[in-house]
Amino acid sequence: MNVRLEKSAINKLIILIILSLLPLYPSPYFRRTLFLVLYFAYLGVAWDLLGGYTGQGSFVHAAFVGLGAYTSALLFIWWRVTPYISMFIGALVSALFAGLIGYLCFRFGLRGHFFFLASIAFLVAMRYSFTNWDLVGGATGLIIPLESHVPWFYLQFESKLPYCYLMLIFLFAEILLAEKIVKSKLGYYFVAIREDELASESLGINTLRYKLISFVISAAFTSLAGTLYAFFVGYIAPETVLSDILTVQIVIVAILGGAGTIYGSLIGAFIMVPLMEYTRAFLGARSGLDLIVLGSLIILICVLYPHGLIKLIGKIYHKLPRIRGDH
Amino acid sequence: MLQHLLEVAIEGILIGGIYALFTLGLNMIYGVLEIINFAHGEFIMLGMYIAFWLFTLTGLHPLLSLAIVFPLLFFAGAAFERVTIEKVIKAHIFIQTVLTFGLLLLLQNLAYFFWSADYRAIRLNFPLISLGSLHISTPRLIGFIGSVVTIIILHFFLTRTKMGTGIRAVDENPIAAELVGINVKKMRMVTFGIGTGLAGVAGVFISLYYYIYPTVGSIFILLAFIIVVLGGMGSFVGSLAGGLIIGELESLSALFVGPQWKEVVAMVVFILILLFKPTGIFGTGGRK
Repeated sequence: MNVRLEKSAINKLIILIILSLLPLYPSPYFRRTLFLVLYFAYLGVAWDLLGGYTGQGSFVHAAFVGLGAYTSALLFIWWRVTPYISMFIGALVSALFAGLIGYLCFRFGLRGHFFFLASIAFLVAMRYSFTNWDLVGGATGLIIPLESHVPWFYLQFESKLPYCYLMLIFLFAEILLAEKIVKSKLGYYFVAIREDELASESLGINTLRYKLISFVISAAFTSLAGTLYAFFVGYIAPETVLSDILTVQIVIVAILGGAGTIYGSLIGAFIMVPLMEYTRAFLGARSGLDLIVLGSLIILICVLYPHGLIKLIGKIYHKLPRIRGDH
Repeated sequence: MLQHLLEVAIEGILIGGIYALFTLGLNMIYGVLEIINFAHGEFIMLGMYIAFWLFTLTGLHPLLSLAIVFPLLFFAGAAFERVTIEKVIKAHIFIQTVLTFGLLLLLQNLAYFFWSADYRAIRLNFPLISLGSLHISTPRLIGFIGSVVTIIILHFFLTRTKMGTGIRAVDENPIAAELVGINVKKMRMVTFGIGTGLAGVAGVFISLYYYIYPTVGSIFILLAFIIVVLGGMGSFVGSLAGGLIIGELESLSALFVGPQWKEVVAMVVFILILLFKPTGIFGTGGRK
């Protein structure tokens, strides 16, 4: 089923080398865009574990980005906790939250469209609560104060370069882990649940348990990126890290490339993020033209490639040897 | 206090009727096409803007602009369905959902691009209606009556005409409908058009009492989601009952908990319904 670009470690290495050379291009704007590409690719892979492999399309994922961002930002503002520690506290909070809403939703058998709606309701309820909650900054959000005398300890760099490499390390660690999971027994349970939940249940798979495991892993991964993002931009608000648009962007990245393929997210992010960033730069963020272009493009890609772009790229990839003549 | 409570309760019923109208559009689309139209709120927004511009530029009364709004949004919706949604009708639900979200982004930002983020309002002076010492908001009352009339017309269309019967047949069982010779593709197109048209009509009614701005649709789409799940997906009666309940809940929670928390209350209720009765009050249960 899954067309994979990479059949060997060599391909992986080539991708890693290319990606690690890209941040060297000395333009802050380019590096910012690259960080966002890697960030969305990372979020896409995390979503893919739940949405693509286990087949539970969630629209709540921005909440985990938000929990990661808010937890570490608050711990930093209150007690100057280093993000290296607070990101894991954030991931724990996200995992607990995912466990709670996952249990509530899956326990009562929500799936398909109903799970979509329930998950988006949890996100919206959380955004409204945070907007009205003064302890977490309310609608104005939180500014992370500068402590630039120890940049590595507090992840506050003047250049965008270290952020790019940090995100790249996270992305590759996540891809390796995700591949491990997908190829393990756990991964086969996930796919079995996606393909036929009733049949997997009758074969003795505890579907509630494995859906929960998938949800919790996905949420914890997502949350780590939230922390990195908070320290990258230095300012978080319900509008930016808890928005439904962020969730949909994650879903788009994961499925444009091709759901259930891991590397599809990389392709999706490399298409969606530069497009959004550069249309915003050229057309201006205030006019709405950038989102008009994005909306039209989403419609176009959905209609033309309803199975994801990775299928298209996979086809080209498999045709390459034939062009050279050696089947 | 009691008088105030009664006024709030009446207002809840009035706006609930309008909510029921646009929810019916969303619900029909779900029933026949099995997709959730995330862009539904944007058609409400378009209805509001069309009514506003016709009123501002030509002085046409918003209620008369209904004769333009419904056909316009019907054809826009039907054309969009034929060109895009029909192509992904067999694709995964992720793709279908994301497609309608693309439409949401497109319409919302077109409105933003052409008409800016300014809050606009149709300024009409309606005479105040009083029942004894009770004051009733006239624009909401007009909207409620208009919605009820539209829903009755829709009911007759669905039960008494050939095309309406065809739509109900596809809703019931698309394969069997195709077997007995119903043009399922056409029914899907017409249903989507009617759904978006109803959203536009509801938008005109809402524009009588609410501000008009590009992202206004997102408020109503969330309400429509709640109502459709509460009443039961694919249930006509459910949308009516759900609309009234949510309208009432919104008014009362604004009074008792505070207006800034009313969305949270609505979401909590929504989650509770999903957890304990995901098929809704009038849901058929057997559907996907």
